[in-house]
Amino acid sequence: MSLSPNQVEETELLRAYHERGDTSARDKLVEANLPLARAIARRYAGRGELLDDLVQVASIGLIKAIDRFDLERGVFFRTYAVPTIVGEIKRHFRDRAWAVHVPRRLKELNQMLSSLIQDMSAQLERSPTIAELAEAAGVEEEEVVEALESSRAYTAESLTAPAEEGSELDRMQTLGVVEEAFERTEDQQLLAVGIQALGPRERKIIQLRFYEGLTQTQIANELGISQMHVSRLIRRALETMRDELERGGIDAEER
Amino acid sequence: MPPVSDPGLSGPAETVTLTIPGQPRYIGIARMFVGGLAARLDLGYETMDDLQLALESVLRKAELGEHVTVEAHLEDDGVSILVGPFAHDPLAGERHPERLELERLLSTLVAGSESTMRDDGCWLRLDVRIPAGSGSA
Repeated sequence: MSLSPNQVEETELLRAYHERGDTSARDKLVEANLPLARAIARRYAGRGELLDDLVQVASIGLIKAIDRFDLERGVFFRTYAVPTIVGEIKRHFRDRAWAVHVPRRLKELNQMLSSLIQDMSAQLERSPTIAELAEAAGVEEEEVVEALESSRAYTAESLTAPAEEGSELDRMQTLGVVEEAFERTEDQQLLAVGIQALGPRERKIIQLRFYEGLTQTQIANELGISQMHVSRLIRRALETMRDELERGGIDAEER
Repeated sequence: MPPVSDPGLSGPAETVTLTIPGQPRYIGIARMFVGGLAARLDLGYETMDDLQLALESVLRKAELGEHVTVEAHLEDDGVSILVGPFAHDPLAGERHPERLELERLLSTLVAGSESTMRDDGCWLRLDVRIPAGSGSA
């Protein structure tokens, strides 16, 4: 197998990370391959999910590919990374399937509103009102309220379900591998009951929103995701924490 | 809708009331109710979303009776939402500063929250202030 200079460098970085635990090598690999992740994410745009959300999912797939790549297999990294990233995006679509039937017009309006909220928040330097959103979208105010509510119809797959068939790691643990950087910024308060059941990104969002008082818009800007996505992640995190606390209560009663 | 006076509020207010069965599957209707209020009051999307989450958190934490009523008292500078009755005060109980409790959630999501006792049980009040001009957040 003849390698190009880039592939030689990539192999060296993979070796440094896997054999010597050099995390800066992993960071370089992520940075170098982000254009690939973005390109794959773009292929799946226009199917009801925001591009920035898809890029984020693709980036998670990329990091998984880096972490799981086996140097002894003798294949190019990209040969392994592309199906891993695609698999991550497909899983995202499967997880985000609408739980109940939501009319197409509401799904489309919901997507439009997500973009409008982001654009108008930047333009107005505050959140747009329902009336402003309705005018911008060319619909009635009631339709805006209905479409925003329809986004709650997403299926929420359990975060403690196995990350993949046969894996001993659950989804939270795999996310933990992905976003270790957030772990380093944790406040001691986040060792709280329930919060420890969250993945690093959700933990970070809960910390920023409820312990540091950042608004959804500020969090969205900091993490590079949409405001509506922040809202969804906050709700999902609170739901996970509630489940965890209830489970803890049951365990305590059983003891 | 005629103006009504409520001893828990500072002055005359317009009241909009919703009563739903005390079951989690009806919480979505309470969220839609807040969405309708947001449109009426020109609340910003983020304020609306926070208020929806505050109300949803109360309804998920509280011990729900057969029915739950949500009363929205609309005023010039804001809205106060009374929700109840509950058999127990959802804000009461042992304090766990290390936990993300309902009290901390509400202190982030709304301008004020307070539980009050009525003849029929405990009610929780959530206050949202609207700054001058449209789009509160």
